[in-house]
Amino acid sequence: MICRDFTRSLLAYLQGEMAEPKFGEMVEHEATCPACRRLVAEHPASEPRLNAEETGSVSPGQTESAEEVAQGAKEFLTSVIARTSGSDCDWVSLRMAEAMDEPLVKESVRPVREHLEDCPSCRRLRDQLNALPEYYDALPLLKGSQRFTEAVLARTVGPRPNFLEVVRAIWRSPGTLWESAVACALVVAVVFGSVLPSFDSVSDSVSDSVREVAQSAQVPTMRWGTLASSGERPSLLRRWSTGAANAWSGIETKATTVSEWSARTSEDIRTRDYPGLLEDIRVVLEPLGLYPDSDQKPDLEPEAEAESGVDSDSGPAAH
Amino acid sequence: MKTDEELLTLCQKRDSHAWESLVRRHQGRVLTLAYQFTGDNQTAEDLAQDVFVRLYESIDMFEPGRKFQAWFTSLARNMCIDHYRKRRKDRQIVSKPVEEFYDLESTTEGSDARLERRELKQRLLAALDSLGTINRDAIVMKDLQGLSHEEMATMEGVPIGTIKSRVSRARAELARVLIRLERPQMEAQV
Repeated sequence: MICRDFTRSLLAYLQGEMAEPKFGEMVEHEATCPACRRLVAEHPASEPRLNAEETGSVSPGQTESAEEVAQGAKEFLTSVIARTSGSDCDWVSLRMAEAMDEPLVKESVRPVREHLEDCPSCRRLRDQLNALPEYYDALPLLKGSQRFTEAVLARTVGPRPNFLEVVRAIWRSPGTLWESAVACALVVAVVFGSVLPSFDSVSDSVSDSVREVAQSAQVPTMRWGTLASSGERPSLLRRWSTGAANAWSGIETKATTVSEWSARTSEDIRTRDYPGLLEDIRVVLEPLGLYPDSDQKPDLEPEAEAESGVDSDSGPAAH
Repeated sequence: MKTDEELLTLCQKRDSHAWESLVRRHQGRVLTLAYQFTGDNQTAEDLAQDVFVRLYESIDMFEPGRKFQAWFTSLARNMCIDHYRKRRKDRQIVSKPVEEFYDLESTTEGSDARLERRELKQRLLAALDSLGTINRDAIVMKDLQGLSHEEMATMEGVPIGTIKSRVSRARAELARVLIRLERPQMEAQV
C-alpha cells in the first residue's frame, strides 16, 4: 500500500468501517510509515493512540532514526494487538498464516493462543493451514517431453529437418556430397565387409548352378527343341547353358589369373624381387601394346648392382 | 555444461542448438508453473509454449550481467498472470457445483493413497481457481515455486512487508475456501 491510498481510506479506517483484507493493509502501512502514523495521530477522528511521540521517545518535529522507527512500529503493533486480539478472527488468521514462514513475535503468541481456545472456526482454519503442504504435494511436477520441445522449436527456429530434407541439402552441396559418399562407402565396407561372400565362394556357387542347368538341358524327356541325346542339333536351352558355362569359365579363368597375378606381384614387392615384378608387369602390358620397348623400359638393375657393390656410374641412372 | 547465461548469449547469435538446450533445461519448470496457474495439462502446455515463444522474441532484450533465472521466471510469471486474468473474465468457476470438482467414478480406481492424492489435487485446484489474481500469484510463487519474500519483492518492485502480507492473506483465504469445499464432502459422507 502506498501513502496516497492510505490517506484516501483513512477516515473509514479510523471509524472502524473497514473490513479485511484492506484493514490489515492499513494497519501494516501505519506500522511501517512514520509520516502516515503522524497523520493518524493528528486526525480529528483519531482515538487516543500509543505512538512514538506520546511515549516520549521522539519529541514533536524531531526526525526519527531507523531504530526509532522500528521501535515505534513495534509499540504500535503491540497496541493494535491489545486492541483487537480475542475479537478479530481475521487478525488471528493472518498471524497463523504468517507463522508458516517464521515464528510469531512474542507479543502475538499469547493473544493468538487465547483466541484459539475460544474460537472453533479459527481452530479449524489452523488445521487447514497446517494441511496446506499436503495439498501442495498433491500437485504434480510436470516434465518436458520430446513432443513439447519439437513444438517449441517449430514455433521459434522452425521445424527440425526430416531425413529427405537433409539428403536434399547434402545433394545441393557437392563438397558435402562427396564427403558423405566416401563416409557411406567406408561404413558399408566396415559393416558389411566381413559378412560379404568371398569371390571364390561366389564363383563356386555360380559354376555349380551353370553346370546343373547344363546337365538338366540334356535330360531326354524334354520336349522342346531337338534332344541333345539324339545326336542332332543341340537344343536352344542347351546351347544357352553351354554358352553361359563357357563364358563363366572364361571369367573365372581370367579372375583366377588376375588373382594369381596379384598374389605374385605382391610377393615380388614383399621380397624386393624387382626383375620379377617387372616381368609380371610386362606380361600384362605387352599384349595390350602398352609395354615400352626394351630401350625405353626402366632399368632396375643398377639398384640391384648398387646393393651388390657394383659402381652405379657404369650404367644408366635408376630413379 | 554451459550456464543459462552462456546459452542465452549463443541464442542471441541465433544458435539453434543452444536454444534447444535452453528449452530442454527449463521446460519442466515452465510447464509446472503454467499448470499451477491453469490447473489443466493441455492449457498449461499451450501457455508454456507461448512463454518460450515470448522468450525467443525477447532474447535480444536480455542484458549481460543479469541473472537469467530471475528474468525468465518474471517473464513466465507475468504471462501466466495475464492468462489467468483473461480466463477469470470468461469463466464462472465459483458458480459450479462443488461436486463437479470430484471425479466420483474414479473412486474405484487405484489405491487409497492415490485416490486421496487425486482428491487433494482436485480440491486444491478448485480452491486456487476461486482465488483472485494477487492471491493465486502469492500462493504459486511463494508456496509452490518456493521463491523467497525477497525474490518476490524484487520481482514485483514492492516492499517485503507487502509481499509477506499478501502471502499471509492468500494462505488464509485459500484455507477458508478449502474448508468450504471440504464441507459438502463431509456432509455427504455423514
